[in-house]
Amino acid sequence: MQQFNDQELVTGVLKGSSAHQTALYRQYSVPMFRVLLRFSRDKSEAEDMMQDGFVRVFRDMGQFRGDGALGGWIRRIMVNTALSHLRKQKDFVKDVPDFSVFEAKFHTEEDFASNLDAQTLMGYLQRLPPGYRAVFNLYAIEGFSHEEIAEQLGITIGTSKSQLFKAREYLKKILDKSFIS
Amino acid sequence: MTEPQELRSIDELFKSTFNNLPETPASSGWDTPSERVWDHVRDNIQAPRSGWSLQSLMILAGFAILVAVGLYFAFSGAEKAGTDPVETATPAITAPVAPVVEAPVVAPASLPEPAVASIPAAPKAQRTYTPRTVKPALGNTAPKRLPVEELPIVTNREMPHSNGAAPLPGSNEVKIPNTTEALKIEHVKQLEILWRTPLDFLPVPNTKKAKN
Repeated sequence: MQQFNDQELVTGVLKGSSAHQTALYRQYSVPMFRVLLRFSRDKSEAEDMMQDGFVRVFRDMGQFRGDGALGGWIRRIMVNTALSHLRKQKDFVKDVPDFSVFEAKFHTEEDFASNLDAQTLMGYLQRLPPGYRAVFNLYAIEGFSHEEIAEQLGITIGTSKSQLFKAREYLKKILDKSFIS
Repeated sequence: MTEPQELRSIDELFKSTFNNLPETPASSGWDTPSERVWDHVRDNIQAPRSGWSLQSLMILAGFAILVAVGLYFAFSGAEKAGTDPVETATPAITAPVAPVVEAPVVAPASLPEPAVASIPAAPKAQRTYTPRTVKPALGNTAPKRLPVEELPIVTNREMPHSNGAAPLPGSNEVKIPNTTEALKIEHVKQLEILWRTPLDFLPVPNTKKAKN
C-alpha cells in the first residue's frame, strides 16, 4: 500500500482520489476502531459507528484546517459519532442500582483467567451500561471535563459525576474479583 | 501483582493501557474492523460525488417520460395529418398532364406558319395535352422550334376518343397510380426531354422597321 503523509492524504481525498481515500482508511482504521470499541457494547456496534464516522471524515475533509494532527481531528469525529449513536438509545444514561445483575456478566472463566491485557479491559468496559461507559471514556480516557460531558450528552453535571463514580465502582469490583481469582 | 494495580487508579489503568497499544493490530483480530466497513464507507462516499440524489433521479426520469410521451403523440398526430389528406383529397388523374408553356414541340419545318398560328390557344385553366412525339424533319432543314402561342394543343377531352363515342371495353388506357411519386417521375421525364432539345437563337430585332 502506498504511504502518504497527512497533507498528501488531505489533498488527495479532497481531489477525490480513491487511492488516497483507501490509504487514509488503512492508516487510521485500527486506532479509530480501538476508540470506538471502548464506546460500544461489542464489535458489531463499533463497526457501525466506524462506518458512519469515516463517511463523516471524507465528507467533512474540507473543514480540516491543518492546525493540528489529522489523526486528532479524525479521532474527534469518531468520538462525536459514537456519542451520536449513544444518544439515539433511549435512556442510555441511567442508574443501574442492582449491581448483581450487571456483575453476573463478568463471572466467566475467561475473564478471571485473563492477564488484564487491553482486550480484557476492553471487554470489561464494553459490559458496562452505556451511560457509565460513555462518561468513563470521556472523562478518564479522552480527558473531557464534567461540564463538557454534560453538554455533549445532554445531561447535568451532577449526572455526569454520578455516572463516573458508579462506573469506577463497578470496574473496581470486577478488577478485584479478577485479581483475587 | 494486585497491590501496584490497586494503588493505581482505575482511570489511569484504562488510560495507560489503551493509549499505549502497539500500532500494529493484534494477531487475534479483536481490534481490526471487518472489510465490509470499508466497502460501506466507499459506497457511501462515492454516491454523493455523482451529484444525483434519488429524488433528483426520479424527477429526471419523470420528465424524460413526459417528453417521450409528448413526442410520441406529436409524431403520431403528424403522421395522420400527413397521410390522410393525400389518400382522400387527391383527385384521380387519368392521363399525364403536360405543362403547356414548358413543353417543347418540334414541328416540321415545311408546315406553313400561318396555318399553325391560326389554331386557337387553349384556355390556361383547361387541362391540356401536348404530344411529345418528335416527327422526323423533312429534307435537310433543321427542326424549328415554334413559339409557345403557336404550339398545336389538343385538349384532353379530344384526345382519347375524339369521335365522341363511348370507349370500348378494354380500350381504356392504363391509369397511372395516383401517387405523388408517379407524378414526380413523369415530371422528371419531361424535364429530360426538355434538356435534350436544343434551344434556338433569339431573333435579332429589325431596326429599320422600327425607324420607319
